[in-house]
Amino acid sequence: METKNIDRREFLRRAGIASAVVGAAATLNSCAGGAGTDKVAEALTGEHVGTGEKEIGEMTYRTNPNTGDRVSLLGYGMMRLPQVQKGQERADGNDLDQEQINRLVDYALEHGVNYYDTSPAYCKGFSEEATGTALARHPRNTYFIATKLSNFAPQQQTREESQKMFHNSLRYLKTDYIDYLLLHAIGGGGMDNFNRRYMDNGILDWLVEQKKAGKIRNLGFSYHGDLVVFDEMMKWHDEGRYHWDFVQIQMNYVDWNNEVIAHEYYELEKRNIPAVIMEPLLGGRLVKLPTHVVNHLKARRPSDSPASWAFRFLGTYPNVMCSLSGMTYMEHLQDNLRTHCPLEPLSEEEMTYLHETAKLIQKYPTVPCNDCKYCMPCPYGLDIPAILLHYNKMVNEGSVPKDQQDPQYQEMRRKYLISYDRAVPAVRQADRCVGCRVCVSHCPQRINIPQTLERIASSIEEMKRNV
Amino acid sequence: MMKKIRVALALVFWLGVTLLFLDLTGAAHAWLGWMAKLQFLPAVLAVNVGVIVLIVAVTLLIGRLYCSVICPLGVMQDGISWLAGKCNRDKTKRRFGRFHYSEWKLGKGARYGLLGFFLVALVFGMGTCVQLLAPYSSYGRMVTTIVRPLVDWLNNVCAGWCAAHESYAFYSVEVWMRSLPALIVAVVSFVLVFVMSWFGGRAYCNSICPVGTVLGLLSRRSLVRINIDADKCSGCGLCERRCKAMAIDSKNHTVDTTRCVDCFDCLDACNRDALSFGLAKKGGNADTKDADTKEAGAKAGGNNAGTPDQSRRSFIATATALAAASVVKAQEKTTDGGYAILEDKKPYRRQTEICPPGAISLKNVEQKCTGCMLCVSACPNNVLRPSSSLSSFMKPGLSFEMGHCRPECHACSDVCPAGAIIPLGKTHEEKMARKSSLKIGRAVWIKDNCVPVADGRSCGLCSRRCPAGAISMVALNPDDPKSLKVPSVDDERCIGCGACEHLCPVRPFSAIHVEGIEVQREL
Repeated sequence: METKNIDRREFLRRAGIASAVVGAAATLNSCAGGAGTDKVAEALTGEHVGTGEKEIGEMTYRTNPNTGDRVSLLGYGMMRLPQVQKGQERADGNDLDQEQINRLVDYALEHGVNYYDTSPAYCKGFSEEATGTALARHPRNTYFIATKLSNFAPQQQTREESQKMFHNSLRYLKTDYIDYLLLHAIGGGGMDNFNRRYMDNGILDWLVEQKKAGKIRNLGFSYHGDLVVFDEMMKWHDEGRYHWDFVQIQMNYVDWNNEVIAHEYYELEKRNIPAVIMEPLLGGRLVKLPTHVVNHLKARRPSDSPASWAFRFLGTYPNVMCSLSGMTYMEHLQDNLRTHCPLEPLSEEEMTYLHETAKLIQKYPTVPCNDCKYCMPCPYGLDIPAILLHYNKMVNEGSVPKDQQDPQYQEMRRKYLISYDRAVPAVRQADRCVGCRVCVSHCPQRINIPQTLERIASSIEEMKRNV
Repeated sequence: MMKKIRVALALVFWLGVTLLFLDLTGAAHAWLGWMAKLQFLPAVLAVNVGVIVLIVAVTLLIGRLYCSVICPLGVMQDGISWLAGKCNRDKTKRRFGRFHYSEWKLGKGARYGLLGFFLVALVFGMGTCVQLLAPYSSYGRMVTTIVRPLVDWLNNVCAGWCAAHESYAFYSVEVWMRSLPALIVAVVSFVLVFVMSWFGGRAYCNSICPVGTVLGLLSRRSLVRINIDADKCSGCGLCERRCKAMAIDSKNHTVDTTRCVDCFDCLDACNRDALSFGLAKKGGNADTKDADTKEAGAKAGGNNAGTPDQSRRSFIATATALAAASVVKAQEKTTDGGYAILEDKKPYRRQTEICPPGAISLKNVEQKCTGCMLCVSACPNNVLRPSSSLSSFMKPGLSFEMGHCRPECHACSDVCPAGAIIPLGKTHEEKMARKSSLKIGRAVWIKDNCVPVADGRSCGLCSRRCPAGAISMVALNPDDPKSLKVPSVDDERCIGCGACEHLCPVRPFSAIHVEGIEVQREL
């Protein structure tokens, strides 16, 4: 902003009208100085001078020690892609807005984002295709593709099906090699599950062969769960059994208080394995904050978004190669670009301030749902993320009616119930949960979903009865 | 002046009663509920002595003012007839009126024969034919089945707008057809009433309407009536042409008070001021012959509702349940997101209809309900709908495909003007307490549909959602306490609210359903 304004002022001065401008400003606004000058300049040129927001500059890059890839610190997560309006889905159920995705990808590439992370499971299985369509319009050497072997369902875990999944990825992504291939969300279900998915069928060894053949440039895994499987993976790495080129972990300033996360990061740093970060914003939960928490952050840097704090936190750690963000809208992308172009690491004082903020956030009894939709589809038709998100929204807004004696109880009750019906159709609401627990093993945040839904359902039932 | 007052009052009543059927908030009833209670047939069936005495007294005194002011169907017909007059191609008719004495007239024998038939029908529990023709219920059905969906739809448009603007003034409601037979009946009766009033003014009221016939009988000797001063009258016939009840014989200077509905149109029509509304003068009545002025009333007579063929019905119920039962098969998840497709629930053919809480018994509903559907339109949980079974045609029954009878709700019992559903108490707390212990049905488990049996998964949703705590989970295999648990219903605690049937995950036929009971009782 500053540079541009000075240029324009410089130009005006050189044109010899500076004195007139200052004079005019003095008479028109009864105040001489920068602001008045800008206004007049604006009037003269017919343009708005500056937007009040930081300019997007040069992207910050980190180097992958294995391949020497210069990876942009901001990566594009292709899990929360924009959708077309209801009723305009394709016949095969694809509801992604390809036009918008192309626009976002073009803009991101243009501003230096070169890491794109997708999976065969994302967006009801349509993410890879959309990503491929958008990226194939650009030269293959200008971006890196990350995708995953997402063989979660038992019928996908045979050797043939898993290989097919990898070949489909290549086909959808319109490429003959994958830059970053991940074993998807390991850790849940312990080593048993890991063995079932990747060892018993020999798929991990097959992937290593693919890497040798040049079809995979970097092999790694994304991790959710306790440390048992993680430590085992690190052991294998140390023993030379398998070499992990990179690892994707969940990391953000709220979860940092959880020792598991810090442990994972430092274990990777120790081995010089670059970390790719997922859930930097906890699916938007670190953006949709209670107002006083937002104000707490704004008090320090008024023109910076809450998201920028989360990314600057990550960028402060040198072993973070790339922070993935699922940017659904252009303004998300632009905001993140402002943060990363270039990234300004947190000062020590800011770091302390952010950890204080984390403590404020953790006081709220929200459910740690990041809207990743791994739990969906629920076999009994519930819309689990929508139920949890509505609940979180109400908690954050302070709109959960509690005390019947409160004079505002009836009004809050009405608002709560109506907004619940708007967010979730009746047949997909929490009171329909049969407790089959299918979702539990799918949740990367390890939320006890049936228990949480039962809690929400009974509080809503009570609310309904309190007419 | 008289006419203007009549029109104003009529509009107030008509709008008020209409609003009762269209009110989505449930607030109108507190203010306007009495308008429904003033309706004649419901008052008779509810044995609402005060209202009956009032209407009878007014009718004996000044004639059928009821038909012109209180009856919503009458006011609607006046509107249609007025419109027909305005649309008439004949300029003279447009200007001076289009009716002639005794056109569309049903012979006295036929009229009273019809009335006799209605009385017999009521006494013998075949009220269906009466309520099909009774004006208030007929009007209620038309509004509920034809107009209400439009209002609901409009409401949803507003709700959509509100949702987009973070407002909670309106919220979406389900727009649905409560019953096809009821819609057909309503449309047919609307067409009938429309045609008759378009061409014949108050023809429906003076030939078919049972209430009109009864009140006509009472008003025969009404003290105050339209009188024609033969000295002033030139016999021009203007009053006769204006009379939509076709009650004025201008040649003989007489007014048939059994047909006159006190609309006062004629008063303004006369150029010579020959007509007046006042005490009866001798010789002014066209029909002076004494008649049996027996008051119409519902005598609680022996009700011979035929014994239903139980075995056949239960066979049909079981067969449909089993044949169409398709249990939700848990889909194996391969990608993230999306929804499992949910089939709509279908109703069971119940052996016994479930009556609204407060209806006391099937018999009470059959005898007293006029089928006006006020309760159906008041039900916020989409539970009540008009029955299409012959024995209780058009009368409310419960079904749980779209909701269940929620414990805090007592809307239907608050609105019934006919005493078919009796209020559960005086205060909200009293009503809720009564409702939570009032048994209106009993839950029946259908083993073959149940999730643990068909799907091999645990469920227990019905047990967790039962507001009465009537369902507990027991081992499927009695010898193996660790086997999957299935519901067992304690009939003495089940109140028949339908929460289990409505929330059961099995579609389209739930694995647990509610059967009605003939007499409601408190547990």
